[in-house]
Amino acid sequence: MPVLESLPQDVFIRIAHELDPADLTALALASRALCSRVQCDRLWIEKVAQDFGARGLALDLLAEAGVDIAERVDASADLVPWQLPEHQPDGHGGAHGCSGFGMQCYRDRFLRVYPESSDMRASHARNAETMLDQVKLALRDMQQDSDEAHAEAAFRLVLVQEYFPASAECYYLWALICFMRSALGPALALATISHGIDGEFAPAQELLAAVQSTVDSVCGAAGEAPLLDASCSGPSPQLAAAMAVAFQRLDRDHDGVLNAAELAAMVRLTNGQPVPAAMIAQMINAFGGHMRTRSGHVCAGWNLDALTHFYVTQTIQDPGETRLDLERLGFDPHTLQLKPTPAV
Amino acid sequence: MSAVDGPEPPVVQQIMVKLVSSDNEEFEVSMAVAELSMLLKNMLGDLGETEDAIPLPNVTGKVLAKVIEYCEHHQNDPPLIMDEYDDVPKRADDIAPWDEMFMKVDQEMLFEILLASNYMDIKPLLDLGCKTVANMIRGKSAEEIRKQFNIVNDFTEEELAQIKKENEWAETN
Repeated sequence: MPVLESLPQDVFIRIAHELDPADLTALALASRALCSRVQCDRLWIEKVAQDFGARGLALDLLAEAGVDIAERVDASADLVPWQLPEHQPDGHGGAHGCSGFGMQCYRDRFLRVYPESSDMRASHARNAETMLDQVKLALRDMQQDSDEAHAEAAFRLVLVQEYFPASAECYYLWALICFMRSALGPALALATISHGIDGEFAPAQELLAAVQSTVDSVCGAAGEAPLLDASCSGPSPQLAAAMAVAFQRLDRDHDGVLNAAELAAMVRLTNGQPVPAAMIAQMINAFGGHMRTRSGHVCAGWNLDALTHFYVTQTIQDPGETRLDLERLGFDPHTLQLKPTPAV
Repeated sequence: MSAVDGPEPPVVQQIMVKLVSSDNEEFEVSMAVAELSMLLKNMLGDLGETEDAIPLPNVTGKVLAKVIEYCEHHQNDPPLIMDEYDDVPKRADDIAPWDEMFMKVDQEMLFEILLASNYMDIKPLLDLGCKTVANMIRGKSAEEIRKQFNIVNDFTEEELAQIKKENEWAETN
């Protein structure tokens, strides 16, 4: 007959997920068998993630946005370990190691989140406040595309989250960093967590609305063709097809490269006014470069990939502008299909 | 053309699956019910449509009947959405009334259901079982837990004092 003490450890851990540390202590005091069940490392490490925020998820989302701070977080002496070491020596417990490491991680983190003295609580709150102010200031003054500065800000937020796992502001600022980097998917996910933690927190609400409206516009309203693929990082098939057609039309000399003059014509067509040559040169440098033409010459300009890359980048920042440009290039802004040329 | 030759009205043919318990009791359930079990779903995916009964050597007929009762009641539930952003701890105070009644069984059956749902990989039933057990533990002292689950205290007083000391932090919240 099965009893509590003989359940598979996986099932036991699921039960433990539902219980508070004090309940687990009572279980450990009931019998030797239960005590060894409760001391399982994996049980406590899973509880760390469950009770003190899904840090692993946040780090994954940041990495997806190009802010990879996992190594720095793992190496930091300021953080209580929150994962089992990869090559865990398998103790005598067999399937479940019970070295005490897991429980110690949980306890240390628990005491950071719920400090015993009110003095300590106040000091943690002051530190977090200072850290958040620094991060907000840094993000406000930041030059765009500053990988290092984004990583620094994201890491400082981990230090805040260590003591305040349910800080809606931490998740909001992580989301903001992703949004600044045009990583819509991660921004949406992190803003959603922030909003989930505190539904009243206005900055998260506003950011969520902003990200959502960009995503909606990128994905297209009902009946509209999407501009980007599902991950919001590349062109949708419809946009890719439109780009191929547009390229043919813009490449007046059909040499396979949009040179400075052809690009100037494109900008004049989409913006309605001519632009300085310096700006064209800048656009060539940012998205294209020296391209080989069909006849083997090298000239500065854009190939099809560069044109597509430019429009994907613009779409992430302003999807409405892309639809407008496509209309001026002769496409239906909703379906992205080429419009029939009106009979003259 | 006569009416007799007309097409038969379409009969919604439910595909049935046969299951056999460890004590050779046979059960027939619809595919939709069987597929709540990821174990069966994967097996059926591999086997395709089959007339053969599927043996479940780890589950007795008595327990399997109970598990099937649960699956039949929940066969039309919307699929579980795994909300990975939801990091608010889930606690066991959200058990639906039907589920609560369903779990009013003796302890042996409760643990048998846990084992069967774990083996058959029926996540909602496993969750329900775990929550039910957690509710039997929550807020109790070690002595009350021993009484609840018929557990014999095999610690010495010194050992108990030691564990209490090590776990003092957990009581501070």
